[in-house]
Amino acid sequence: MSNFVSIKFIQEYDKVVYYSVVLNGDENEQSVFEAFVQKYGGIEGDKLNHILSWVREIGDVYGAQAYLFRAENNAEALPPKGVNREPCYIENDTNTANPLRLYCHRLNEHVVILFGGGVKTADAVQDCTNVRIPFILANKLSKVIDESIREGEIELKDDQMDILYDTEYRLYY
Amino acid sequence: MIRNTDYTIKKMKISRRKSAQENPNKNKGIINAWLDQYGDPAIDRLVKKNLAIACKIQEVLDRKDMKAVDLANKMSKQKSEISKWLSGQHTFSMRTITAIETALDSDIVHVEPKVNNVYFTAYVRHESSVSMEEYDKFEDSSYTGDYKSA
Repeated sequence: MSNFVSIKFIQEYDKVVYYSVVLNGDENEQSVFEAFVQKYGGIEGDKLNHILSWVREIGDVYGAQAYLFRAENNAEALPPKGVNREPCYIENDTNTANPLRLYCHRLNEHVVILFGGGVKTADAVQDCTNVRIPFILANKLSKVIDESIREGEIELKDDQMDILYDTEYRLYY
Repeated sequence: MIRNTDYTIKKMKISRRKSAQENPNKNKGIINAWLDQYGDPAIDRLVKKNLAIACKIQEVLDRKDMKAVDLANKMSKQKSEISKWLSGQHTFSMRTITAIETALDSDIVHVEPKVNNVYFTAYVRHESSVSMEEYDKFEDSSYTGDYKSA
C-alpha cells in the first residue's frame, strides 16, 4: 500500500503563508508540524519558542529568503546557520547551539511547507535517531511536491503569494 | 468542490490563504496560538532584534557596494563569522556592533538622542472674506482681526 499526504494550511502572514502535510489523512487531521509543536512544546519549550518566533518574524517582515533557512538536500531546515557554524540562541544568558531542527520546504519567498523535526544529537543526520526519519521524510516529500508543481497539479498563484491545489488533493510517495 | 449539472463531482483548485482571509476568526493559527500561550516575549524580542541588526548590516553592505568578505577583511575576521552574523542567528554584543559600525563607518543601532522639545504656536489668518485690496492695507504688526490657532 502506498503512502500519501494531504497538504494542510497552517497560517498566513503578510509575507509568507505556511502549510504542512497530514500523513495518510485529510486536511482536517493533525499535520506533522502540529504534532511537532505538540511534542516539543512540552519538553523543549525555549528551543521551540526560538524557532516559532523566527518563523513568525520571517512571515511578518522578511519573507522566506533563502539565507534565512539552512539547506538540507532537497529540503530546508530551521534554524539557519552561518557557514560551518551551528545555529545558536540564548539560554541562561549565553549563546547556545539550538539543536532542535524543523525541516521544511521553501517553495518561494512566500510559500513554505513545514514538516516535523527533532533534537539533533549527532553531527551527521544519519547518525541521529531523533532526526533521521523526519529528515528523510522531508526530503522525500519536498521532491514529490516539486514534481507536482512541475506537472501543474499544484499551482503557484500569479502573484506567487500562495499555492492552489484541489480539494482532497493527495500526494503519493 | 463544485457539482456540474450532470451531478458529477468536479474538483477545483483553491487558495487556502484566501479562504483563511475570508474567515479570519475561524482559526488563529497554531504558531501564533502557541507563542501567545507559552512563548517567552524575551526570546521573541531577541529573535526580532538579531534579525533586524543582521538585515541592517546587510543593508549597509549593499549601500556601500560591499560583500561579506570585504567586511571580514576590514575586521580581520573569517568570512564564516560574518556569514553567521548575517544569518540573523548571532546575538551581538555592543562591542561587536560598535566594531562593525566602525568598520562600515555607519550606524547600525541608533540610540534616541536626548532632546529638548520647543513648541511653537502657529496662527492661520482667515483670508476668505478679505479682498486683496483690503489685504494690502494690513500690516502684520498692527493686525487685530481674527486668527485661527492651528
